[in-house]
Amino acid sequence: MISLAKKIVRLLMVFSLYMVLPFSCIDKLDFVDDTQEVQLVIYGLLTDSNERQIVSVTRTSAFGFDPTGVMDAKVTLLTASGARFRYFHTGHGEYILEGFAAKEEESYAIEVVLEGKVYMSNYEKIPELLADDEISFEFNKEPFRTESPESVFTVSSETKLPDAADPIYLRWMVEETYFWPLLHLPGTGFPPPPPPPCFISDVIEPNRINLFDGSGTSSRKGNFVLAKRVVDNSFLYPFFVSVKQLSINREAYEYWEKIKIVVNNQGSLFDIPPASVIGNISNVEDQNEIVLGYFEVAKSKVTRIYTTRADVPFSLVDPCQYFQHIPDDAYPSECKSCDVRANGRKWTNNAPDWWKFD
Amino acid sequence: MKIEHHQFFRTLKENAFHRNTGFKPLQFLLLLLPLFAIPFQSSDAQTEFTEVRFEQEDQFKRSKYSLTGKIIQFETSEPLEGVSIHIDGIFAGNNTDSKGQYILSLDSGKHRIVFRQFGKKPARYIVHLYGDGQLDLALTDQDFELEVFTVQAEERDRNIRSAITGVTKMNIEEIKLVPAFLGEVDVFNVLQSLPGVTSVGEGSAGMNIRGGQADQNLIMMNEAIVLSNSHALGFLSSFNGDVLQNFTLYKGTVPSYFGGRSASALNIEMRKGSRESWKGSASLGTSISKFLIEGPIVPEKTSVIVATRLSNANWLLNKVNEVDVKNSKITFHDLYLGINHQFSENNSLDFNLLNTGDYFRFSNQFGFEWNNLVGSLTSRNLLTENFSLIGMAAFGSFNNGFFEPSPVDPSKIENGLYYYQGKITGLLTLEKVDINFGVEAIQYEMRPETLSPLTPESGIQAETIQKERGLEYAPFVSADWNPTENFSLSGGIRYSNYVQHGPDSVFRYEEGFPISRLTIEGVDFIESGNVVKYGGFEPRLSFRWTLGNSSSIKGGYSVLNQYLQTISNATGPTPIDLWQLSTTYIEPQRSHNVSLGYFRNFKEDMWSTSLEGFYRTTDNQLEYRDFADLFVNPHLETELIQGEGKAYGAEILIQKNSGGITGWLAYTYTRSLIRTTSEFPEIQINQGNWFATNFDKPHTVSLVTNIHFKKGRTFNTNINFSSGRPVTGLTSNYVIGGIFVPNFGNRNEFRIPNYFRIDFSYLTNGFVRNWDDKINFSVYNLTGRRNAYSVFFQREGRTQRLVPFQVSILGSVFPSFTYTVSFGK
Repeated sequence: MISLAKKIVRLLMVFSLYMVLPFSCIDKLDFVDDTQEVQLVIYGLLTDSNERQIVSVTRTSAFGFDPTGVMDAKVTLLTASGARFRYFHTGHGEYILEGFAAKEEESYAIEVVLEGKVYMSNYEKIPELLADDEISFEFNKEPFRTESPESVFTVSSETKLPDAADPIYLRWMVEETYFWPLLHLPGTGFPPPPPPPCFISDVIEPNRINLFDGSGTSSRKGNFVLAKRVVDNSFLYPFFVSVKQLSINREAYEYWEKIKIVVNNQGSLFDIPPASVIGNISNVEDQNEIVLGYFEVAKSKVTRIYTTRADVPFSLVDPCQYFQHIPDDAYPSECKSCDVRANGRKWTNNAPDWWKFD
Repeated sequence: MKIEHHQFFRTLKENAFHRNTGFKPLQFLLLLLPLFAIPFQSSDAQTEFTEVRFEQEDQFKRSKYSLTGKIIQFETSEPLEGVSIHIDGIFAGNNTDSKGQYILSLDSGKHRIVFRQFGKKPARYIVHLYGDGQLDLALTDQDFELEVFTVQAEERDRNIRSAITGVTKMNIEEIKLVPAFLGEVDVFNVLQSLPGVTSVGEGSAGMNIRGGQADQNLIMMNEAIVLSNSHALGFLSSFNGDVLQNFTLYKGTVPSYFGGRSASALNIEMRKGSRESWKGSASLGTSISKFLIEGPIVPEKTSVIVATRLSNANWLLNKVNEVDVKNSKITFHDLYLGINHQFSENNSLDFNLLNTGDYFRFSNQFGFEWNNLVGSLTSRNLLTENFSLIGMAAFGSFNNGFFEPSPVDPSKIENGLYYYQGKITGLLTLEKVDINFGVEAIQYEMRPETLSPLTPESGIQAETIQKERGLEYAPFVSADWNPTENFSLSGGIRYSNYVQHGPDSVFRYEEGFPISRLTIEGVDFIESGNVVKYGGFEPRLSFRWTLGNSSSIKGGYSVLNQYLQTISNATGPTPIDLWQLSTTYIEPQRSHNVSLGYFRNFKEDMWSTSLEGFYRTTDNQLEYRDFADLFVNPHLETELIQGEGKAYGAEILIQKNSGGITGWLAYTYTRSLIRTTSEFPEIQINQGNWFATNFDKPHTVSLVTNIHFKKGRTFNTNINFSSGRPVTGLTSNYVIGGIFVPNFGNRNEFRIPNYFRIDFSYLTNGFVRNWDDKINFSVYNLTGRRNAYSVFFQREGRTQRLVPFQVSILGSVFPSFTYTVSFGK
């Protein structure tokens, strides 16, 4: 005869043995910050490619809002040999220098004059080495944003480092550009010309910061996953991936490592505690003023690869396929407007110069 | 026959066999006690006092007489160590020694004396002392009925009479009653339910005692230093509850015979194996399995005890619905070996060995492994009636490994240290003064830190960084002086010395600039000899002033130096934190501690209460610089900054020691602050202002309740609340190169939500008749509350908005079940 207490204990024992329990969990938190501190952010990238060189001047905003662009700054590129090149404002705090390529053996800095204060970066020299990237892609079903398998597009690089003994520090930026035709409604009478297509661009996985420190390794070849994204109807038409390799100096590499720490902080036991990331720009007269951002000078190379719908092993639905029986206003807005489709991303109606595929 | 014996003892005043000094023939009765003790222990009248009288009429009357005796366990006849003796309602700090013997010097006259030990029925006497006497007795096990249970921990009585403030002592029987994670008896878990002890959070190694850092606690096993003392990322301590005897925590005034850490000292006593018979136990649990065996190698002379624990928690990881956790692995083990040899009544030798090991791999992203070995040999010799000598030699070895099995260039970093510890302590007992004196020395040998490829295909270039060696030595002396019954003073002094020996590379930095990688001017290689020397006096002083019979005021002041510390820039302390000796640039920490408390007991010690306050300042407390690079770094000083620490607070403890329900309510208010003191503003943390340490939790409340049923069954709860710990929070965000970057504000400016947890355990006998089997069913985090460990910020989808998220380490109810079978007698 088993007593009731013993029966209960046995039940509890079985319960504990079969209970499936999650170890850790992540919850959204109501963590309201009332700090409204505003700091200046200057970021510039100067490469050896003859392209539009950009410096952005913004101010931080409370963490629920977009940073605000600074419009009335004077931005100048300085060389160690004394030359000065002026950037021009194009809106939203973006300053450009067209058709300029940085040269090896020269050191560069930027100067930003704002409200009577002068902000200057350190002089930085362009590195001499670059690596060779061989880009590839694949489509897979795998857990990505959730634990359930999703259709995922993965961009990888097989990178060969130069044999030189000098250290090399690499950073990659991966951008997608895809074609999106707008709906061509036949209308009545003489058919109107088809609307110009959209070329929509965006950074793939902006939170993934691809870095490689080639200084402490004898490996001359490495395979890197550079970007992942979910497969959606963006892959209905030609889809280009541009991989920009930047060869940067050690200080820039260390800066981006810190950015990577704060961006990827998951609050785990072993995470390095985050902090404000200070770069190489400061107020000339007040070194205590915190200036965020960085001015980096990089040797660069862009490698591109494209995919078409034929490569995609998953079924894709075209929301803009024309059917006569569907009323014109029943189509989604993204079928009629590049701006709506882009949803805040960069877009243009003109094909980029490199938009060539077989 | 029984009746005859019973009657015989009744003629000797019921429950005792006693004699006047000099009446030697009665000693033999002690040996026969187990045979006829049943009747004399059969009384359940717990509040009845037995009267005994000792007289020496043929001699001159004296104002004081001595009362001696031996106390044994009724069931086994084994001597009972640590039985507390309460005289006239007050615990005077007297306990039986390892042979169960006690000696008291009492005023001539009538005294009410109670002998108590946890789990035993107390023995109560009215003693008429008009001559030296001997009172021997046996205690029986408590039946754990609701109305008769008595918890005995020396702290609860000592809080009135002992001269040292801020001491907590607890034995294994009480430790077992506090519910713990995985159902394991755990000393650290119990400590965290006591006032003044907290931790950064679940899954972080180490404890924070009275606002001190985890590495500011001296943790010892039988007085041998144990540097790595936790398993499973800090969820469990490395000390197996099956072989644990008791612990003593000095969180107020640390006696001068302990030193080397700037906040507290914790000594964990492991128990000795049985000298009479072989016995053991085996446990199978949902997460941990255990085995213990003990017995005499040479009967009555040499005993051995071996205990081991092995984790079996990987099946739990496989049940978790997250790919990375499923692919993770966690294993740990510990092994304890204790050998005790008794040469004679006055001379013994103990050998203790503790080996622990952990392996943790998180998916294919990173992993840790660490191993710890501590061995000690202790000789205890009573040279004369008043003088004893204790010698101890210990060896420690600690290995750390951190590996990254990444697809590109997988690597592994290894470091650790060896240490050799020696200590000789003399104890001289005079009429009103006890004097402790001796010397302690510890030689630290840090292992070289190595970076190596994890696989043959990895291109990582192996790198080795040589680390420091150092010798810490300190003569010490302390004295406990009891000039009057109401006042006692405990004072001591320790002169600690530290010498860093070569070889070492000492970097030179540009003057007028902060020490940093960029300001290195050169390096001096010191082949041998002294690199740097530090030292200083460490006075320790505490007093006790008794007010009436049941209350006292105690206070203390102490100075402690610390020459070995951990360095970490993780969110909280981790088991693989780097141990770092003081160097030319990393100066030793030095703390000044003040504490004051009021203690009062009620109803014959049924209730103990205390209110204590403390204040501590620490010079040269270490703080890491932002984004410190700590691994394989030959000049760690460039990643650190020193400053001053400040901790203060108050503790309230209300404890019920007897009855059907026992337990305690503890409240602690603590602040722990730090400020960096560099002359260079660019490396100051938070502009050189005071800021909260990452374990600063102002309010902590613990409620431990033990309900005692018949037949040794207990139902126990532990309710814990604490303020959320500080974290570094986001103040704004910005965009660079298309990347949305959170901008963090001052260090530890914000706090995570408050912490709350309820645990319970049910301890009962097993299912099988005629087996000595036991069941422990525990539930950790009964309410399943998702207590925050940390906060991070991330974009939600494609929006530009950064959203705060909280991470909970154990976000659910966590039950465990352990079945233990004991064998042998």
